[in-house]
Amino acid sequence: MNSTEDAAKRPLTLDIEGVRNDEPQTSAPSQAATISSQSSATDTLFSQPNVTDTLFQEESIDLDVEAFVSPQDDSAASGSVMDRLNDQMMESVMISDSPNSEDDEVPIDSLLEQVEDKERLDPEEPDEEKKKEIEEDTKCGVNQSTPDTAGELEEASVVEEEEEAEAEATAEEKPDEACGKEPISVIQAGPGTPTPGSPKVQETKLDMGIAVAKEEPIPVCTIFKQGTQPTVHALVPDGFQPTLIKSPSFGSSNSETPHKLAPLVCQPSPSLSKFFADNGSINPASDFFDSFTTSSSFISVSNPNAESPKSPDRHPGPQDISRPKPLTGPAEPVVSMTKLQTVFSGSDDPFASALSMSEVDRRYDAWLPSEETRRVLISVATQQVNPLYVERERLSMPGLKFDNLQGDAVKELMVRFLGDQAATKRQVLTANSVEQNFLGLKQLISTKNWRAAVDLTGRLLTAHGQGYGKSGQASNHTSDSLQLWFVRLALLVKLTLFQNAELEFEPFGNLDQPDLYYEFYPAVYPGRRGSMVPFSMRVLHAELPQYLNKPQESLDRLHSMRSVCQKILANLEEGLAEDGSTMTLAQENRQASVQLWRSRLSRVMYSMANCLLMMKDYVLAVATYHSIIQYEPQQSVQLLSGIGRIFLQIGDIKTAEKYFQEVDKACQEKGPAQDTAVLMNSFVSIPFLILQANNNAAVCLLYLGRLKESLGQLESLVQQDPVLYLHESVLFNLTTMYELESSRSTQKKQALLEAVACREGDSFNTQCLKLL
Amino acid sequence: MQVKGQSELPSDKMDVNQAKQEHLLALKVMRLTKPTLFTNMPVTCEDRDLPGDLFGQLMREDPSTIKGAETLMLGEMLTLPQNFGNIFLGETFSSYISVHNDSNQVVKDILVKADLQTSSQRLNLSASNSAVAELRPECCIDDVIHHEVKEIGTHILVCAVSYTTQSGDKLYFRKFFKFQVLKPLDVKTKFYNAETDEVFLEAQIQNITTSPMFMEKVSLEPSMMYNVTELNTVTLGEGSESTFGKMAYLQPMDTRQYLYCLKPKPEFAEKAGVIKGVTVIGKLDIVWKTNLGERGRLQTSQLQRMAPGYGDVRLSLELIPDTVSLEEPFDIICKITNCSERTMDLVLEMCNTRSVHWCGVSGRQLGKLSPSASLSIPLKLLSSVQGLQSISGLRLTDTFLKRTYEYDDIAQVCVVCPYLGPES
Repeated sequence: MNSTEDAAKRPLTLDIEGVRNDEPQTSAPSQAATISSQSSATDTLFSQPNVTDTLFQEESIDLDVEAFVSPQDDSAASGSVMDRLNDQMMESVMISDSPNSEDDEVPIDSLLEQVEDKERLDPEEPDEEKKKEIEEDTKCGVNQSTPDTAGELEEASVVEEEEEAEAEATAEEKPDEACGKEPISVIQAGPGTPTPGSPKVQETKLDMGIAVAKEEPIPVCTIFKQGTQPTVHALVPDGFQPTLIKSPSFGSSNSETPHKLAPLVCQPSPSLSKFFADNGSINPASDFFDSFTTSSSFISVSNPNAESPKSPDRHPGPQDISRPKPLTGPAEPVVSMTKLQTVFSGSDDPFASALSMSEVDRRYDAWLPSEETRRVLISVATQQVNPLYVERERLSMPGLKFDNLQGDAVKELMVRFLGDQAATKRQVLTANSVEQNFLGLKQLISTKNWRAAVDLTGRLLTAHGQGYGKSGQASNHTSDSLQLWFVRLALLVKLTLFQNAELEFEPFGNLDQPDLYYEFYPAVYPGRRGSMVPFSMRVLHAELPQYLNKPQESLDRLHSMRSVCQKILANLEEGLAEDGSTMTLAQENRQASVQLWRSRLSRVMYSMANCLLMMKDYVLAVATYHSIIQYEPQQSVQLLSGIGRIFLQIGDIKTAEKYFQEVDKACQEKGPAQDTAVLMNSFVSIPFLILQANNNAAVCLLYLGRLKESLGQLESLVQQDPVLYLHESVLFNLTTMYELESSRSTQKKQALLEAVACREGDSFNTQCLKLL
Repeated sequence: MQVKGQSELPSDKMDVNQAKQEHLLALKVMRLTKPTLFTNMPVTCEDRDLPGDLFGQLMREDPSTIKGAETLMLGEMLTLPQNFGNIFLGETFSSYISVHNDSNQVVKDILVKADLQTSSQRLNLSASNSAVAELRPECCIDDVIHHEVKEIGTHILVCAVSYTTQSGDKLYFRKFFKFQVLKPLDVKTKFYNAETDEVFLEAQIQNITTSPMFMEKVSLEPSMMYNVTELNTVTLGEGSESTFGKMAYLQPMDTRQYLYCLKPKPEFAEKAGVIKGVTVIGKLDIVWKTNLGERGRLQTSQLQRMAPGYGDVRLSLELIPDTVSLEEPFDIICKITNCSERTMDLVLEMCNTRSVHWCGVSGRQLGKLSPSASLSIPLKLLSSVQGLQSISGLRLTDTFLKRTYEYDDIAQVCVVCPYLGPES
C-alpha cells in the first residue's frame, strides 16, 4: 500500500488529511507521532503538531490513521515494515488492489482476498525465497520494538527449523493452493457465466425441442399463419438455463439486481416458434393442440374459481378476430352519456334486470378506469363505437415474449455432478405430463413445478391467440385469458425472472386499456361491467418494478391503486355501488363489499410498506406497517414484531426491544386459549416455529465458534424432516458451513442435491446449494 | 477473489505440483459479519383467481414466511453472511478460522496462528498460542477472532499453520487474506464565539458508508476547561424529543448537524481573557450501530479552536440597557481586563460621537492593572439621535508603553423618544 496514492484516491478525503498522510512518509516525523500516541494511554490524539492554521474555520476532523491512533499503537517502525511487507507481496503475488480505495462498495464476490505465500508460487528458487523470508521476518522482529517481537522471532525460528521440510513443502503445497483459491462462502460462478458444461446442455435442449415438434405434427392454426418472428434483442442467448437467483436477502443487494438478472432472460426457443411460423400453412402440427383444444376455434379452459356466469356458448376464440362482432347490444335504449352508468341496473326494465350482474362479480371486478378509458367504454356501450374500430394504440395486445422455459436446474446440476445415470432418477412433472387445462396447471403449481407451469400457461395462451410473437396483434381477452396471464406473470415473479415478467407485462401498459374491461365486450359479456384484470394482477404489476431497481415506479403504481381502493370504499360508504353508480345494495352485500375492499386496501399497503423497506426508507416503512394494523387488527402481533425486526436491522436495539415487549404483552393479553386459536387459524404449525428456532440457534452456534455442533444440529434436522428443512435459507446456511468446514464441501453439497432432487419441483432455487 | 500471480505460472509447473502430496490440513477463514434476516417475496392471489388458494397455501407452507401475515416481507430466519462486505474504522472485525483435517491420519502438534498486519503494526489475534496435541481425521480446530479496527487502509490477516505428520514430517503453510478498512464518517466542525465566553460547536457528521447507520451516541467530551450543553433535543412538556426525529438513523450520504454549547468553568471563566491562541475544546465520541447491532465507535481527535484575540486589553460590557430614552442619561458597566503579560497603568478617555455623548470626566486615571486582573467601571452617557445607536469612542491609554487602545462599536442601544406616547 502506498499511502500517498491511497489518500489521493479516496474520494472524500479532505486536503488536510492528504497533507497529514504525506508527512510521515516524506519527512518522517514518526517520532512525534510515537510520542503523542504513547502519551495518551486511552485517548486518541491529534498527532500532527505542525498542522495548525488550517484547522480553525471549517475544519475537517481527521478520522484517519493518524487521528485514530490506537492506544497500543506502535508506529515507530510502522511505515517501513509495512512497505517492505507490501513490496514483497506485490512482487510475489501481485495482490490485486482492492477497488475500495476508489469506491466504497466492495464487489459482492470478494470475500477475504486470499493470497498464498510467494514461496509456493516460485518453487524453483525456494532457497533464495526462504532466505528472503527469514531475513524479512527477522527484520520485522528487530524493527518492531513491540510485544509482538517475540511472536515474530518465534515464527522466524520456526521457518529455520523447518528448512528441510519447507523445501519439500514448497512443491507439495501447490495443490493446496489450488483449493485454497476457492473463496469461502462465495458464489463463484454466476449462472450466466459460460461454463464448460453449459453449451452441451443447450444443445440437448434444442434437440429435444425439434424432436418433439417432429413427432407431433401441428394442426392448421390460422393464428400461426403469419407468424412474424420478432427479434428479441434483449434476450441474449447465453447457452444456459435461466436459473433463478434469489439472494436470501435481496433487500440488501438491491442495487445488484439488474446486474444479476441480466443473464437470466429467457431465450425464446427458436426451434418451436420458427416451426410454427414456417410450417403453419402446411398443417403439420395437427395433434399438437389436440390435447387441449376441443374445436379449432377456442379452448375450453375455464376457471373453476370464478363464479361468473359464463357467456352462453362461446368464448371469442382466436378465429373470431376476423369476424365482425354481432352488433346486438344488451341494452337497446339509447341513454345519454351521463346516465350511462345506470344503464344495466334499471329494475323496471325486465331485459336489463335479467342481465344484471351477479353481486359477486360486481364486487370483485369493480375498478375505476381512467377518464379516457371510461369515455371509450361508454361509447362502446352506447354503440357509438364498434369495439373493432377502437384505435389499436389504445388496446393491449399481449403476446408471449418467450416460450419454452422448460428446464430443471436441479436436473442439470445432477447431470453435471452426479452423472447422467443419477440424473435419470429425477422425475418431475412437466407441461407435457399433465392435463392441458387449468387442472393440470394447478397440479404443476402445487407440486412446485413452476417452470413447467409457465410453459403450460404459454401453451394455453398460444391456443388463445396470444402466443409467442403475437404481441402487437389484435386479440380478444376473456376473463380466463387474463387469469392465465396473471398466473404466468405471478409465476415468473416467483421464479425471480423479473425481466421476463416485465417484458410480457409491457403490452398491458397501465392495465387500463379499454379492452381490459368487460364493457368492451357487450356481446360476450352482456351486462357485465368492471375490470377483467384480476386485482392480484394489478398488485403484481405494481410490485414488479421494485425488483428491477425501480422502486419509485412501484410506489407510484401502488399509490394510485390505493387511491382507487379508497375511492371505492368512499363510494360504498356513501351508499353508492363500488364504481360510484347509484345502485341499491343489500346491507349484507354492502358489508361484504366493504370487507373485500378493506382487505384489498391493506394488501396494497403491505406492498407499499414492503417496497419502502426495500428502499431502506425505514421511517415510512414503519409508519406504513403501523397503519396496516387498523385494517388487519388480527395481524397486529406479527406486524409489531416485524417492525421490531426492522429496528433490529437498522441497529436500533432499544426500540426493537420495546416493540418485542409490546408483542409479548399483546400475546399475553390474548390469552393462551385464544392464542392457540390464532395459531390454528393462521396455520402456524409448531414445526415451523421449531424450524426457525433451530436454524437461528445453529447460526448462533457458528458465531460462538462451534461449527461442528452447529452443522450437526442442522444436518440431523434435515435428515429427520427433509420436507420441512430442505428450505432455501436452511440449505444456504448449511452449505456455507460445509464450505467453512472442509475442502470436501462439494461432496456434501451433492448429497443435499440428491435429497432435494427427490422432493423439490423444477422451481427449486439451486443457487442456495452453491454448487456452481 | 483474485490471485493474479497465479496465472503467470506456466501450466506445466502447476501439474507437476499437483501431482505431489497435498497438505493434510485445510485452513478456512470466513468473516463473521452479523447475519441477515431472510426476506421472502410475497406473491398473492384471491380465492376467486385461477390458482384459488394455491399461492396462499404455498406461502403458508414456506417456513420462512411470517405465519398469519405472509405478505410481510421481512422474515425471521437468520442467514449467514454471503460476502465479505465492507469493514469500517471503529467496527470490530470478527472472523472464523477453521483448520480441518482433510486426511485420514492423525496429525500432531498443530499450531494455528492468526496475525493481523496493518500499516503500522502486527497484532496477534489468536485466542491461544499453545499447540493442539493432535487432530483426528474429519476434526477441526475452531477459533473466532475479534479485533476492533483502529486504522484505515490495507489490513492483511496472516494465518499460519504448522503441524507434524504421522511420519514425523514438520509441515507449515500460511495464507494471507487482504482487506481494506474504510472510513465510515466524515466529520466537519465549526466554532462560533458568543459575546459571552460561550463557544458554540456545530458538528456535521456524514455517513459515507453504503448502509444506514443508527447513531446510538454522539456526544462531546469537553476538555477540563469547559462544561458542555447538548442542544440536540427539544423539550416538549415532560419529555424531550430529538431534533432528528423519532428514528435516529442516518441514510448513506446523509449528514446531520449536532450543536453543542461550551461554557468555560467558573475557575477558567475569570481568566477567560487569558484563554488565547489554540485551546482544546474536547472531542466527539460517536457510537453507531448497523445491521443487527453491529457496533462501531470512533472518537475524533481533540478539537481545537483559536480563541478570539482580544489584544492586550479586553473591554467587555457587563451591563447595558437595550432601550433608552432620547436625551436621557443611562448607565453602562464596562469590564476592563488586562490580557497582557505585564502590568498596565491605564487612562480612560471618552470621545463623543455625532449621536452618543459621554457624561463625566474624560482622561480619568484607572490606576495600575496587573496581568489577568480586571476592573469594572460604571459609565454614563446619553444619545441625541433616535434609532439604533452604536456606542463608540472609548480610548484606553497605557501610560507605561504610551500605547492607546481604541474601542468603537462596543454595543448598540435602541434610542426612543419618550414623548411620542402621550402625543399620539
